[in-house]
Amino acid sequence: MALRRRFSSWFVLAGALALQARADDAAIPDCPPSPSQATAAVRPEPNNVRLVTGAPYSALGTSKTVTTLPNGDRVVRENTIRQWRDSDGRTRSEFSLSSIGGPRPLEINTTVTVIDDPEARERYLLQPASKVAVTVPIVPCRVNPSLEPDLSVGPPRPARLQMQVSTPVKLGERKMDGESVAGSRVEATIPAGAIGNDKPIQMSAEQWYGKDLQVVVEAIYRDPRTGETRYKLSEIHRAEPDARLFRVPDNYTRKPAPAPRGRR
Amino acid sequence: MENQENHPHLAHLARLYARDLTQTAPSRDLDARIDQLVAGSRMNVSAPRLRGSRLPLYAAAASFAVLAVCAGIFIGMRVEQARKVSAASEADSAWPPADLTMWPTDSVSFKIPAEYTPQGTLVAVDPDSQHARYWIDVVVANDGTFRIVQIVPADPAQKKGGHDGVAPQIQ
Repeated sequence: MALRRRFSSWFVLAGALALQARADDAAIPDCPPSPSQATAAVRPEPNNVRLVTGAPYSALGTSKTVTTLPNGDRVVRENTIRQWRDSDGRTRSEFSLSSIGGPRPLEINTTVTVIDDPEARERYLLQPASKVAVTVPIVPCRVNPSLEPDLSVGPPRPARLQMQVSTPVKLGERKMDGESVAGSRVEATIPAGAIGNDKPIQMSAEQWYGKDLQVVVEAIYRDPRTGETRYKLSEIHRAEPDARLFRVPDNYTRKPAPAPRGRR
Repeated sequence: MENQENHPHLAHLARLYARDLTQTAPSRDLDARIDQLVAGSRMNVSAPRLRGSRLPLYAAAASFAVLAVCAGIFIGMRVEQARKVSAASEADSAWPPADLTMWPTDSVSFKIPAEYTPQGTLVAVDPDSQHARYWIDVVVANDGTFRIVQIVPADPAQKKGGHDGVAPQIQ
């Protein structure tokens, strides 16, 4: 009799936990497949952060951009991202930034640490000098593994900049550092005269996306204006990272980020 | 003597005039009328004083005009400043490197305080430094793209905003 009562109480408890887990899952919406395919129901929110659970890893991403100047000189810029993710989807990224290219290149030489905690719905940017963790609200969305990511024209750019983007071409699948990756490639053209150019500017992007880790493992971007950028994820380890990496150090003060000066 | 023996008609008229003259007495209200006339002329003289009493009105109008001119100058400066900001932003955003990225991807937006070097490049600086003249909005992503989104002149009032360098940007 006592055994039956104990069994039924365990059954009720397990059921409650399962319902709670489903309720938590339901609270996190699916990520939109791409900005161009966004609908009124599924549209990217500001500060959307992808939540990938059950796929812990740590790796080093290296981005190298080589720009060839008109006089033949080459400028090489290299930035790295050391990244960690635990089974619950928390992430830590350490951006070692040396230089960011563009019409006016930015020399930085600093390391920025960012922790994303989807459960707390907060992003922390650690400022070691002042022992401050600046907090920013984030909106987690769940990646739908059945949807293959598209190569798309990425973050918003000026609407007046004309650009013709080809349909993504699938490059098949292959193994890369033990990870199954799927490749896609798009070509983009800025027509002659759009930015004062007398000939069309051809650009391309090729990306290899890890199907298990759900991150970009390799990418090549070619843009005659800035040169060629190659990105590669190396030192991939699938072990569960140390939980302390995803916590704000105890001696840090949390301060919310100042409100933006008007949304763009 | 001849003159004393006037024409009888003239002599008659002269007698009448002499009689009227003896009967004529100064008007009793003459003084009052003179006072009234003098008072009237004083009122006319004091009219400019009345105009003088409108001085505050003119001062207020002049102040308003000065205020309007100042407001015009201020608005003009703000418009010019905004034009410079948008020109800087447009100049950069019109030339976005690495426009192509994969969706979904994980990106982080930063605000980085910086100043221009004589060579025309930007160098990150301490925001409390006197040289922090610009905020650089940067987006970095784990697909290998590192982009400068826009360059915004720093507001001197926000220099001591409590950040010790790179700050997150709410997207």
